Amino acid sequence: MKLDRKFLFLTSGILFGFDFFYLIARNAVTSQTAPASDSVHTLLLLLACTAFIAGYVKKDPFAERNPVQLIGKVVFAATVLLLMLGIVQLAALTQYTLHGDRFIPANMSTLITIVFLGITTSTTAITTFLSFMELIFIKRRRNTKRNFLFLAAFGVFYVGSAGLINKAGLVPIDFEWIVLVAFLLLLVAMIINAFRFSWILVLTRKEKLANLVLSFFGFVFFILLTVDAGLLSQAQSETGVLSQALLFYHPLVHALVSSVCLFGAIYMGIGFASTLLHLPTAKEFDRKKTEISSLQNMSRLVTQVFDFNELVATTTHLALEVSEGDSAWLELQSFSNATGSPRDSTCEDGSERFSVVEKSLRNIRVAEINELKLRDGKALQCLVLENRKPIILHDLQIDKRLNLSKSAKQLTGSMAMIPLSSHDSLIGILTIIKKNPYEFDKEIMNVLRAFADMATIALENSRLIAMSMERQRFEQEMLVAQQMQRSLLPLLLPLAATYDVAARSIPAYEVGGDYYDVVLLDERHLGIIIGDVSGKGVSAALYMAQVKGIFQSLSSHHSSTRDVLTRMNDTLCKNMEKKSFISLLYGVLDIETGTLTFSRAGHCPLLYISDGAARFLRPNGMGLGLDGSDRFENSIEEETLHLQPNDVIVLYTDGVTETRTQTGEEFQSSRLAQVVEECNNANAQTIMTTIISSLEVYRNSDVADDDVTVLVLRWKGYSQSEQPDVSMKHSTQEEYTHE
Amino acid sequence: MNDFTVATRHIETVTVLDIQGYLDAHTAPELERAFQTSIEGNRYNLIVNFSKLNYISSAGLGVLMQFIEDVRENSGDIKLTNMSPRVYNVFDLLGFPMLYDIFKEESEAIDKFQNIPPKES
Repeated sequence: MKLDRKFLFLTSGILFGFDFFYLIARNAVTSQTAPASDSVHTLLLLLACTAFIAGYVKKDPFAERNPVQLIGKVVFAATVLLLMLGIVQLAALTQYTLHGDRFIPANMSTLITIVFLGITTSTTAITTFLSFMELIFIKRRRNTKRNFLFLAAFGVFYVGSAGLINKAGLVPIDFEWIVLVAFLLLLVAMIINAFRFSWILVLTRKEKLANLVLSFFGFVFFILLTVDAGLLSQAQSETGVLSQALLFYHPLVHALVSSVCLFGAIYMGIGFASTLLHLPTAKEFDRKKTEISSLQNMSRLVTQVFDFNELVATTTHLALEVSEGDSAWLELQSFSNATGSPRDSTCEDGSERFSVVEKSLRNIRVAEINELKLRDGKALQCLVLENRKPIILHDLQIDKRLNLSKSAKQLTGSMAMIPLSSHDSLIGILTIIKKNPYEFDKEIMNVLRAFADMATIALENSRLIAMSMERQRFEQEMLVAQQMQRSLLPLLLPLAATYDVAARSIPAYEVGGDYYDVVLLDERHLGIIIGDVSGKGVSAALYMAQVKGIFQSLSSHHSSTRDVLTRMNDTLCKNMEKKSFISLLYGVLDIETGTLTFSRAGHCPLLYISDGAARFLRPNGMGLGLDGSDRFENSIEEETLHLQPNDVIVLYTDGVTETRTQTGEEFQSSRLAQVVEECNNANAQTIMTTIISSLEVYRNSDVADDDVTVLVLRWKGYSQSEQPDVSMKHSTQEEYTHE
Repeated sequence: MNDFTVATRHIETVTVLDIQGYLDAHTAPELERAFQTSIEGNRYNLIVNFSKLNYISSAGLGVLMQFIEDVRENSGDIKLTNMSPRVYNVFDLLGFPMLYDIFKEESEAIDKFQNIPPKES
C-alpha cells in the first residue's frame, strides 16, 4: 500500500517534470502556440493530476478525521496559494507580451515561474478539494454521497468545459453558454454541499473558537483568490496575475483552481457563520457533554458495591466530574451505631452524627472542612440535617449563614450540599465546592440530585452486601459454637445394670445455656447434674462451658452435694457478671444401694415417681452466682431418697414447664407429672422422648422459646439372681440422646 | 406480641416501677433503662410492683441482680411487691426471698422504706 502511494506520487511528479521540460522545449521552438491546444501538454497534465489524485485517495478517505485539523489544512492551502499570488504580484515575476488578446511569456524566467505555479497550484487545489470531501463526509447521511457525487460531476463538467471551450481552445467559442450552464449547476451543487456542518455542534468550545478563526481567514483568503481568478472570464486581461499565469499554463488548471477557491469561499463563509451561531451555546454544550459522560460513568458505581472504600472514593471522584467542581467530600453516618460517640455540636433535631470519610476527600483536608462552621457555632452539616434538602451557598465569603474563621478566609467560591437519603433516612451528605461564586445553577443541581440518588443506592447496596456477608460469617461461627457446645454435653452416659438413664438437651437458639452431665465419681457413685444459666444465647453458652469445667474439677473431690454446690458458687461468684446466675440440681446416686442424695440450687424441683405416683421434691437452696457469702451455703439443703426398683426420677430445666402454647398458656409442672405418670413403666429413653414429644405437641410449633433439657433415671435395683455389676459400661448409641 | 412496659412513679423518697407484660431476655433492657434512670437521678429507694406482670424469665431476674449491689451500697434497696403466685414461684425457686424483701402490698414496702429513712448520698 505504502509503496503504491509513493509510486503514484512519484509517477505524478515525473509526469509533471516531463510536462515542465516539454513546455520549456516547446517554447524554444515556438513561443506562439497556446498550450491548451497542445494535446501532449494536456495529456501529460491530466495523467499527472490523475496519478496525484490516485495517490492521495489511497489513504482511507473516510476514516474519522478531526474536522478542525482539516479546516486548518484547507486554510493552509489557501494561504500557500495567496502567498504565491502575492509573491508573483509583488516581485513582478511574470512579464508578458500581448499576442492578440493572449499573454505570452516575455522571457524564459516567466515561463519557468508559470510552470512552477501551474504544478503547485493544481496539486494544492486537488488536495484542498479532497480535504473538503473529507469534511463533507464527516457524519455522513444517506444523501451525502449522492450530493457529493453531483458536486464532483458538475465540477468535472465545469472544469472540462471552461478549460477546453475557450478562445484558444479545442472547441469553438460559440459553445460558451455551456460553460455558463455548467457553472450554475456547479454553484448549486457547491451550495448544497457547503451546508455539511453538523460536526460543528460536537466540537468543544476551544475547538469552536479555533474553527471560528480558521474559517474566517479561510473565507477571506478564498475570496481574494476567487477575485483574482476572475472566474467566468477567460480573458487574461480581466484576471489577476496568478490567473494570467494559470490561463497560459493550462485553462483546465485555471478552471480547477478557481472553482475550488469559489467552493472554499462558500464553504468557509457558511462555516464561519455557523460556528459563530454555535459559539454562545458552546460552553453549555460542553457541560452537557460532560454531564452525559459522567452519568454514564455512574454505572461504575454499581460495579464497585463489593468494596465500600473504593465506592466511596469513586462517588466523590464522579461528583467532581459531574459538577465540574473543585473539591468535594462525603460525610456518612457511621455504620456501627455507636451510641456513645462524642458530639462536638448538635443540630436542632440532634440525634444524628455524620463523619467525614477519609477516603472520600477530594482536594480538601479534614482540617479545612472543620473550619467551616455556621454562625451559631453548629456544624455545617446541620444545614442539611435540619430540612434534608440540598443546600446551596452561592458565595462562601458573604454568606450570612457561615462563620468563617480567619484561616478559612481564603476559601472562596460556591458550595452545594446534597443529602443522600434512602427510605426517609439520611445516610450521608455530599458536599462540593467550586472556586467561583454562583456556579451552582438549576441544571447542575438537577444532575447532582440524580447522581446523589444513584450514589445512595450504590452505598446502600454495598452496605447490605457487607451486612449479609457479616451475617454469613456470624452464622458460620455460631455453627462452630454449636458444635463445640455439643461436645460439652456427654456423648455417652455411664451405665450399669442397676439403673437406666437417658437425657436430651435442645437449645432454643444455635447455642444454649442448659447443661447436664452424668459422671461416675468413683466405683459406687454416680454424679448427676442439671443446670440452667440465666439468659440465652452466646453468653449463657459461655457460662455453661464454665460450669462444666468447674463441676468436673470439683465433683470427684467432694462427696457432699452441698459442698460441691458451695464450692461452685464460690468460684462462679468471682467470675460472673452481676446479672447472670445459674440454677443447678446435683445428685449423687449410690449405684449399689439406690440411695440418692441431692441438693437444689435454685433449680426446678426433682420429679420423683414411686409406685406410679409423682412428687416434686424441692429442698431449699438459692441459685449460684446470686450471693457470694455464707448465705448461699446456709440456704442449701441435702435430701436423700432410697430408690426402690422401678422408681423414676426426672430432672428438667424451666424450659420444660414454661413451654407455652400459641396463646401463652404454660405447660407447668402438673402436666409434666401427668405425662410421666402415664408412662412410668417404660424405660428411661422412652420416658424422656415421651416428655419431649408431648412438649412439641403442646407447643404446636417447631420453634422453642427456651432451651429444653430432660434427664430421666430409672432405678432397676438388683434382680434376685444377679450380683451388682460394679464394672461400668457405657450406654449404647440407642440409649443416650442429645441434640 | 410479648409487650412489656415500665412506668415510674415517685412517692416521696421512694420510686415505684410498675412493670407490665412479659419480662424476658428481649424486654429486660427496658427495665434496665428504668433502673438506670432512677439511679442516675440518685433515687435508690426502689420498689418494683409486679401486679401486672404476666411472666418473668431468668433474664428478668438478672436485671434485679445487676442493680441490687449498687443500690444497697448507696443505702437504698430494691423491694418487690404484688407478685402473682406464678411469678412468686419463679423467685422462690431461685431463692430470691432470701436476698430481697418481697411484700404482698406496695404500701408495706413504702412503710418499710419510711420507717428507716435513707441517708442522703
